[in-house]
Amino acid sequence: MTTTVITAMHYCVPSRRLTNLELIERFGERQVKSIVKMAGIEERRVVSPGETASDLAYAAAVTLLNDRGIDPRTIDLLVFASQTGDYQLPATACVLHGRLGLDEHCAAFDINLGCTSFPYALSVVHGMIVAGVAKRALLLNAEALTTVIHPLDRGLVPLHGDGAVATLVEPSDGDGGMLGFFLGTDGTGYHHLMIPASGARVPRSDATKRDEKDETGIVRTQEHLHMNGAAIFHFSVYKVPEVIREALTRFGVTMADVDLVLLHQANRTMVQQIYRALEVPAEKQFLFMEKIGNLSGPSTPVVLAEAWRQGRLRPGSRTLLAAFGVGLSWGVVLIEWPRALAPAVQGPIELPAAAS
Amino acid sequence: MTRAELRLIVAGALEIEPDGLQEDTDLRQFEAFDSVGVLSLMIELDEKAGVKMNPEEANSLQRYGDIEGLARRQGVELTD
Repeated sequence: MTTTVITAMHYCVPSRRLTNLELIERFGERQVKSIVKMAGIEERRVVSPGETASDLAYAAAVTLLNDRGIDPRTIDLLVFASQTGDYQLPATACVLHGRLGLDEHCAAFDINLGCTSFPYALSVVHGMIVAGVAKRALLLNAEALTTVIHPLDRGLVPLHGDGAVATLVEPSDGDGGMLGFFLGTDGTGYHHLMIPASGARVPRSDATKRDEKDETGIVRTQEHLHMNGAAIFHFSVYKVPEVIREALTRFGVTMADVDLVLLHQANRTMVQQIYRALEVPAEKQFLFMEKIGNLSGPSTPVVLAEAWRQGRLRPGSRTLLAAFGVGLSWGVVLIEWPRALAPAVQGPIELPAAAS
Repeated sequence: MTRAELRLIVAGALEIEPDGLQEDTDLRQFEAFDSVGVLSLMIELDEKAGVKMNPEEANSLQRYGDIEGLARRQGVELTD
């Protein structure tokens, strides 16, 4: 066995909706209109008090396992990729291992990455299966980013939502699989997207809890997410197309060999700028953020799962998926779907009240 | 490109009348010149004038004249 294949995906979003009408009341009509025009986001799903990213991941995982009739005790690798885990320690994967009733021979650990967590974690899971460490892996990409965004941050609140995706990865029998991974980092830009007081470098204190207003009117504390919008935008629309071109070269394919190009759903304008720079034809594009917002890490697997649900993944076709953001980092993966592609996991995608 | 055309691009991004833009006009007086407005400027200037702003340039913009200067430095000839 030389590669792996995604055999099922399912995603879950919170039931609570944050509409533009609510945002207009909070930030004013002009601000909301201009950000909606740029981002193309009409509504976000946000966690309610008490709900966590792992609750969303649990609900997505249970639906996936039930849909495929999989005994949880056959899962031998669980990876939880998130920056909003339940605890600093233990790993949230361990908590989910217990909740899901997985076997004691199942390895479980977290990966701390944001927007690029899907291609990175997928490459880890793929590598462990190819190396013979695991046979059936459950990858959970989950984020409750709205819990670390100041409610009066008029730049970030309108952009982001919460969600989780469960992805089942298994050995390929030769029909389809991962054709290549291309990962990278520019750590000199770590400060462009960060929570300053969130660990050992800047311990939390009364001072880090104080509201601060910057010159553009954005309100936040040192314990909330900070974004240098201009830097992230510049990185996304100029660096990412370069990265994708390099990935295609490394994979030995051209855009003509790819049937669908999926990008991190950061915001509509950014995604369209990247599509334009790469001259991706309209029939190879797919956007899914209007009703859920930018989910950070789960964004790319959600757009992939949704493309599957909407019948955009044809048996034997190839999908190029690229994620980019916090780090700064990027990840590109090329996937060939099996000729015997299973139907997508359907059913409710909202977090059931009982799961939280 | 004429200076009037460049003014029109900037005015469109900031949702203001182009007549309100002179070299010494302080962009920070406009309500739309916030983090989203700066991103709109970056997009519009690239798409319509071929002017690319790096993050430092974008974050240090203060006066309309800064944008004309940036365009000239990138080889855009501005005529009256």
